[in-house]
Amino acid sequence: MVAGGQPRAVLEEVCEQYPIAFHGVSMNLGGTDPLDQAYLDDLKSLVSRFQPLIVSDHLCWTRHGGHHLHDLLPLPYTEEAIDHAARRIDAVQEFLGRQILIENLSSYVEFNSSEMPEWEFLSNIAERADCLLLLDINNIVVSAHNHDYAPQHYLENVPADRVAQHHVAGHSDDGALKIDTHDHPVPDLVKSLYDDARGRFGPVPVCLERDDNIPELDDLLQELDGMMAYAMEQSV
Amino acid sequence: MSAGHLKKLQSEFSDFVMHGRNEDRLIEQLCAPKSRHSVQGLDVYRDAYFIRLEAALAHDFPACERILGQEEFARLAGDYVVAQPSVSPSLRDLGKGFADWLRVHTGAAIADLAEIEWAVMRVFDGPDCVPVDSASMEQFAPEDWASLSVELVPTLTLLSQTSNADDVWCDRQGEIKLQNAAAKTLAISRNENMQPNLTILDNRSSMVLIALSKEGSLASASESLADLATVDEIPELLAKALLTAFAHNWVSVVSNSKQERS
Repeated sequence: MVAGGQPRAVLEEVCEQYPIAFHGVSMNLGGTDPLDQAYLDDLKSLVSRFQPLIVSDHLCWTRHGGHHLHDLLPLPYTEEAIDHAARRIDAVQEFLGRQILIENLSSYVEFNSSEMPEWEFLSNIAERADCLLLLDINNIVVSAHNHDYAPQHYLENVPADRVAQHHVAGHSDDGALKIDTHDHPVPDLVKSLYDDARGRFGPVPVCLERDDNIPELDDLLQELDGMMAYAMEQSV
Repeated sequence: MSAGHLKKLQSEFSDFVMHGRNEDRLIEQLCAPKSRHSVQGLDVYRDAYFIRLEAALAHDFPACERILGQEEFARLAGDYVVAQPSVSPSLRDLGKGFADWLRVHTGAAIADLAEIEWAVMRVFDGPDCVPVDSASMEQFAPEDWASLSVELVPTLTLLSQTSNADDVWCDRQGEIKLQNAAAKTLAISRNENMQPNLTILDNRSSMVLIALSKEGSLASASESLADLATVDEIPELLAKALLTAFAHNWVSVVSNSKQERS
């Protein structure tokens, strides 16, 4: 959310040719610091100017005591956390005047205070805040591996009518933990789960994420085409 | 768990990630606290914090990293992040205090280079602004000039430096050694292709431009320059600095401060 210059000029150009989605990492929806009003003001102004199809952020916390950690940090899956996050999402939606999408995380720890599985936590918040879901298929694969559950079980237990977008990506694997690095091509495990997701949620928009080791655009487009073809093949 | 517990958990977690404290207390709150898996999971967050923030600084200060070397740059970046944790939702703003911090903890020359790189960032994504040319002065009668105020474009940065950091920044081959040099003032601005321009200003012009950007009118700018030149010299100094500013597209607004007040 910069004031101008090249990033803004590129955004203007892209917007003239394509529908766009805004995806944030700093809304701090699960944080206990107050919501950042200056950030929300800037976002509202940007949303008003560019009218994105989708505005999304993550179900996590990112800031504490005024300090930003620039990471998507996990919450305990408790009733109190549901109530806390849902109220903040509701406030953001009220302020922006539109529904937002919240995304599930990749996580590397789970808290023993959790009272329910992650999918139940996510679903309850979506229902309570009346928001939509951005289901990141790679994050499900990563967290399912790290916390030892079946990824299909996650898909089966989120409300289909709220899923409005998917993310797919690659990850790294150090043997013990899978880590959401977005620096590899989409692996077969993610492609396969994406195919299941298409079956359950229908053809919602999908975004291929790649943040590091970025190949040529042609290679990325080929990867996206290949993944779509894979999904089509599996669904025949 | 109450909201108070959520706050306490986040306080302990952030303290661990940023400062390495509370690890035992956090581990007790994890599922399977005694497994190697839990410790590794926590370490992912702590490692990622420093890797991500150091990478952001390396991205924004590539010439500093080249001069210092990757290892020394990473050490300094890590120390900076501990000393001045991020207070902005955007990683873009992380390096805001890096040049000042380097000036205290390393030396003036590398801090000069960091100042240039930070000003170049502002050229890259600072606010857009259509500059005005010298014809904009024609709308005002000469008797009103004393009350005119001049605003400079927001992507212009004036830097007082005592090194050859500007030469080092321009040296894509990496052959010039960074060292101290005679004092100079650099003006870093955005050109019509949105690229950075470096201009070296003489001392007097730079002081006039700084006065113009800070003072409410040409008259008050003139008064603030009393130590720099005689009363007779100041109009010429102002005119020269203004023409330089117009020629480089550094002026965004010329207005009559007296009319604005009335």
